[in-house]
Order: sequence, then C-alpha cells, then structure tokens
Amino acid sequence: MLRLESLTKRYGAHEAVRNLSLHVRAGELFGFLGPNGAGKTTTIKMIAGLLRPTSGRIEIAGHDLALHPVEAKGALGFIPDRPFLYEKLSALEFMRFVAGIYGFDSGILNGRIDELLDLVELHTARGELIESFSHGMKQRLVIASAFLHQPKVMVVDEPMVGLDPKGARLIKRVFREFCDSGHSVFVSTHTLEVAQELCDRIGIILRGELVALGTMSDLKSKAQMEGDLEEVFLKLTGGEGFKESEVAS
Amino acid sequence: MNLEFTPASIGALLDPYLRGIRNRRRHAERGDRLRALLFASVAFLFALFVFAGFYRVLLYIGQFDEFTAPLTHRMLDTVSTFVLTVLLASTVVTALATQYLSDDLSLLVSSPVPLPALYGARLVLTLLQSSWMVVLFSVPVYAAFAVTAASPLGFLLAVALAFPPLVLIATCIGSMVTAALMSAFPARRVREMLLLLSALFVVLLVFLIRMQQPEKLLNPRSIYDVTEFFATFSAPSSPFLPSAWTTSVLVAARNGESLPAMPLALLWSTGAALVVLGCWMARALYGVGYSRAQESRPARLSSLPLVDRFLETVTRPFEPRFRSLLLKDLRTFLRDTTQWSQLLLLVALVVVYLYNFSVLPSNFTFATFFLQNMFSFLNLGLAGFVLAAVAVRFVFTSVSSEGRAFWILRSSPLTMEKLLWSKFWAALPPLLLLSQVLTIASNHFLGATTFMTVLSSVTILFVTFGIVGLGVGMGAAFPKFKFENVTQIAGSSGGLLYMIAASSFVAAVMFLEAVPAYLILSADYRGMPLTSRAVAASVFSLGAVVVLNLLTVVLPMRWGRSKLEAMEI
Repeated sequence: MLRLESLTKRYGAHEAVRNLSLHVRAGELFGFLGPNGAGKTTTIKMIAGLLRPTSGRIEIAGHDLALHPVEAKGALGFIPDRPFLYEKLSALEFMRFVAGIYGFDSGILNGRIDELLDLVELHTARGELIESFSHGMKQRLVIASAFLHQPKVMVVDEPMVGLDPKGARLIKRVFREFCDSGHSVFVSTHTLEVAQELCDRIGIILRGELVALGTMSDLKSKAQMEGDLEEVFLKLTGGEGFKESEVAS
Repeated sequence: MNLEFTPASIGALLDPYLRGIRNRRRHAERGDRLRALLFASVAFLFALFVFAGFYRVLLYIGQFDEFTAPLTHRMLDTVSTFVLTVLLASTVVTALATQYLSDDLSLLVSSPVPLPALYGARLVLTLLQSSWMVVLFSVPVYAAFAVTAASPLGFLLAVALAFPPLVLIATCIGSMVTAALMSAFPARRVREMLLLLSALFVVLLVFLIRMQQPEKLLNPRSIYDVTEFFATFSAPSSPFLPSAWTTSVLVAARNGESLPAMPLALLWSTGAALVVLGCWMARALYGVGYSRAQESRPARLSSLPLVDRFLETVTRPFEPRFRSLLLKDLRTFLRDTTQWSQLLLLVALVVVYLYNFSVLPSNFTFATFFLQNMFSFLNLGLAGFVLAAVAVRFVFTSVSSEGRAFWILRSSPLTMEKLLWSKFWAALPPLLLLSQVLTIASNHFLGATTFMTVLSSVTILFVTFGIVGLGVGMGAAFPKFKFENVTQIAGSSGGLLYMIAASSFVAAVMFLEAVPAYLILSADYRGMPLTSRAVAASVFSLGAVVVLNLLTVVLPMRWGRSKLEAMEI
C-alpha cells in the first residue's frame, strides 16, 4: 500500500534520510520511531509531497508519487504534527473546502462531513471560526478532514500531541478500524506506549537510517532483550545512558 | 528609577535579537544578499529622490526673503509633526506585537525576569521596529536642510540632540496607549480596532491634503488665496507639542543661532519622565494586559448568514476545486479586518485619482487637441501604475496568503498549476472592473477623443491580464508563508521586485503604443486617411502589445508554478 524505495534526502552535506526502504502492507498499522532529529518528519513530509526526495521512490496505493502525484495524493490522507489551518473559516466551511480541493462537490459529502465532525466531537462547534479553537480541537479537525476523501493510506506525524485522553483513545480506535477495513496507517510517534499498543510492525530510524524493522517480538530478538518497547527502543538507538542518567537525576 | 531597570538587564534581554540578526546575516544565502542589495539600492534611490526634492524646494524658497524664514519654520514643523504622528500611530500597533503577542513572551513572562527590565527591553525593541523607516526617511530630509543651512554641522548637531528624544517620546506614549487599551480589551479586538483606525487616519490625511487643492496655485486668479495660504505659515503650532520643541531647536540651528536650552531640556526630561512613567504603568497594567492577550476571542457564528448564502449561490456554477478556493479566499478576505483597512485605502486612492481629473481640466487654459490626448495617453501609464500598486497588495499576496496552511494544498491532489490559475481568474474580474472605471472615467473628465478612450480602454484590458499574471506568478515565485498580517507580503523584497517588473511592463506597453497612437491622432487631426505605412506600423505595434501581454501572463505563471512545485515546506 505504501512503498519507500532507497529514499534519500540531503540538505547540502547533511543526509537527513539515507537509503530508506520499507513497505507498509494493506491493513497494517506501521509505527515509525526514532529519536529527535532522526529523520522521521523529513520522511513523512516526503511521503506527503511537501519535500522532494534527493533520490529514491515513493509509491502510494500503486501510484508513483513523482510520476503521478495527483493520483498518489488522492489516495493519501495526511495529519501533520502542527495543525496550521485557515483560521477565518468555520469547522464546517473548512471540511467543505477540503472536499472541494479533492474534487468532490461538498453537497454530496454533506452527510459524511456531519458524520466525521460528530466522530471527532466537533459537531456543536461546526459553525465557529477555527481561530477560536484550542490546539486539540484543531488537531481533531485535521484528523476529520484527512478521512474525508476516504484515503487508502493515512500518514500521521505525532497523532497524540494536543489531544486529551478521550481524544487519544478515540484516535487509536479510528486508526485501528481504518486498518481493519483494509487500509494502512503510517504513524510517527514518540509515545512508545501508543506504538506498542497499536502498531502491527515498527520501524526504528536513527541518524537517517532504518536500524530495525519488524514486529514487537522481532525487535526484542534484534535487541537481544525482553521488556517493553521503551527499553528495546533505547537499546537499539543507544539511548540507555540517557535513560539511566535521567532516572538518576 | 528601579534598580532592575538597568542597561545590563535590558541588554541581556535584547541579546537573542542581536544574535538572531547576526546569525541571519552569517547564514544568508546568495539570493538573500542579492535581495538585500536590491532593497538597499531602491532605498538609496528613494532617499536621493527625497533629498533632491527637499533641496530644490529649500533653494527655491530661499529666493523669497520675506517668506524664507516662516516657510522653513513651517516645513521643519511639518516634518517634526509628521514624525511624531506617524511614530505614535505605528508604535501603538508595533507595541501590541512586541509587548503582548510575541511568541517568546510566554517564556520571559513565566521566568523570574523583573518586569521593569522586560518593559525596558521591549520598549527598545518597539522603538527600533516602529521607527526605523521614519528615521531613514528623515535622514535625507534633514540632510537637505543641513546643506542649505548657515552652518551644516551645527544643524546636524541640533538634529542629533533634538530628534532622538522626539522618537523616544512618541514610542513611550504609543506604548502607554497600547498598555491602556490592552488592559481594557482583548488583544485581537485591539489589533483590529487599531488597524482600522490607522487606515482611517491615513485616508483622512490623504483627503485633507487633497482637499487643500494645491492645483489652485497654478491659477493666477487664485493669487489672493495664495497670499492667505502663505499667511497661515507664520501661525505657530501648539507650544506644548514635543514636535514644536524639536522644531524650535532645529530652526535656531538653521538660522545659525545658539541652541535654545529650554526646548532641549523639555525634550530630554519629558523623554526620561515618560520612560519612568511607562515603567510604572507596566507594573500596574502589564500583567492584566498580557493575560488578556492570551484569551481567545469568544466563539461566534462564522459569518453573516445572508452574505454566506450569497457567496455560496454565486459560486455554485464553478468547478468544485475552483469554487472551494474562491469561497475560501472570499470568506477569509471578508473576515479579516486588515483587508478592510486596505480596501479603505484603495477606495480613497481611487476617489482622489478621479477627483484629480475632475478638477484639472477646468484649469487647463492651455488645453489643446494634442495635449488633451497626450494626457489621456499618459493617464494610461498612471492607471497601469495604480493597478500595479493595487495588485501588489491584493494579487501578489494571493499565494502567500495561504500562510502556514499551505501544506493542505501541497499535500492534496490539487496541482500548483490549477492553484495559480484559480488565483488568476479570481483576481482578474475585480481588477478589470477597477481598471476600466479608472480609465473611462478619467478620459471622460479629460475630454479625450473617442479613439483615445477606446484605445486606453482596450489597452488597459490587456494590461490588467499582464499585471494579474505577473502578480500571481511572481507572488508564487517569492512566497512568504510566515507573516503576521498580509501587508508584510506586499512590502517584502519580492513585492518590490514585482512593482519594478509591473511598472516596466506598463512602460513597455506605452512605448509600443506611442507610435500608432501618434500616427492615428495626427491623421485624425489633419482629417487625412492613414497611410499604408502607418497602418502597418500600427498593426505591428498593437500585435507586439498583445504578444507582450500574453508573455507577461504565461511566463511568470510558469515560473511561479515551477518555483512553488520545487519549494520545500
């Protein structure tokens, strides 16, 4: 469903992402982990078409992003970590706007818009301007709009930022159901509990390179240790020292 | 004075800004340096132009002994009053951003930084941000006064002593007004109110100056009014205004007299007193004001349902993508008060423009067939320039106004080509209407021939396409997605380049049309038919105009599209 082949992104002499290859299958919820500055957001921005890869290939639902961007982007839903929106629109107008730029007549999608606003609990705030929304409300609106055009692949950067526990639980359920209906989610997160609880497979990126890939048990055997994802993650990314010193302080 | 209010503590708080400027300079790329160089060159040319203008006027009035002293006094007073007024207006708006809405304030306010030090640092920042343009404008003005003064160095010394406290006083008063407003109203309301008020202030200023009807000076019959006009120059302005204190110091220096101590003492002591007063006021009000700045505006209904229904209905026939973008742009525009203030200025500009033409012809004792038509032809250039000035604000900004929400469009299946063309078609109709109104009405007032009116109307029709294409294309090539209000986009180096490109384009069109217009008008005047050579020259020139306009639409649009596609966000 989502295929990255030898993906590389260079900023001058600095290689933010190096030769990254992976495949997210249909129905799979894939977690993309890594320490700060490892290349997660760069990778996600390349998949969303916001950054151009220096080399390599991205395929979304069978469409090459470089060769057929319209089809590829049409099959993709994107939820960024920071929800910058059109502040002067109301939630309902924003949803209609998104429907329009994906080529749908908003009238046809009215039912679906209502359903999604209901789902993210913004129905009562649908007529209010986005500028009066809290961060969490904006994040929920972005999530609703990302599902509007019924994408096949959802790419999410830090889904839990700004969400309250209720919102976080809702999002986890929505992602799971989305995958269960044969679609895929590629999610980058620092919340390791979420990754452990939700993801079918996990990829760990370190200094631009994929250092581990597999199910939770695959990662444990690679790290040659038992324990939770946090411990495995710290072992694989060389962060034990940080954890110990943090605990000590 | 509070001990916490020390230069060292203020310097420490300003350090991140200074380092930021230094780092930006260090990491500037070639394009940034080129832009800076271009901006500096244009600023230098402007300064030179201002200097030359003032220098000529001062030389001219120096010839009339009885008027020289009162006129110079009045001119210096006008400059000081202008500086004080503009600085007051700009400080009130700037202080809102630097002292209440800036992102780094949450860190500073939550840390144990003494309030007086914070106030002092922000006052310096407000002063620098609100006054740099006025100070730059003042340099060539005072330089012209200095070189025509009895003792140039003495005059410059007087400026160095009397001008800085004037700037300080304006900044302190402006900051205090903002502090008072912020303690009473929510930040967004204050911001909207101030932006509207400052626009109204400028509109009023434009009308007041225009309604003085300076063109009457050209008419010998109004000489009685002129004498009256000059008589007003000797009237002193209010002695309580700081601008009057600055003026009296400068006037004394220009006349080669010793500098008066009283106004200088008043300027510096008032400045110092206002800094202390502002500090006390900050102690009392800053906490309340900053807290209010964090409060969101209460949720309200999205808009007037009637307007909304109207917009929905009129955009219904369009294709979904275009309709979506158009509706979004219209709604954003109508709900953004910074846009209203710009619209107010635009309306004032158009009214003054047409008023000028309605007034001038009656004074044309020298109006002839050729002159009338020449004015009509030159008016084409003026209308083109006005159009470019409007377009830099409303068309050039159209791509950048997507702001940080641009990711929504980039990650969607909407191509950049479609986006740019939708911006083009959305901007074209209002600008076509404006250009036609400007051209046809001004030609009517000028009493131009039907031929000139039709030629102007058709030419401006083409020129509007070019100006809009150039605006959308260059706006996409020089996007500025991070801005506080849209006026910053038009004032960017890209906006400046656009103005240069659009003015050159209008000049090129006029150059191409000058020959056929002359040939056709000559034949008309003599009552002779056009020669075949004249017909060929006219067809060639007009064909070239059409080609130039097409290129001015297509090439910048392509350039903008490729730049936008290659851009990484």
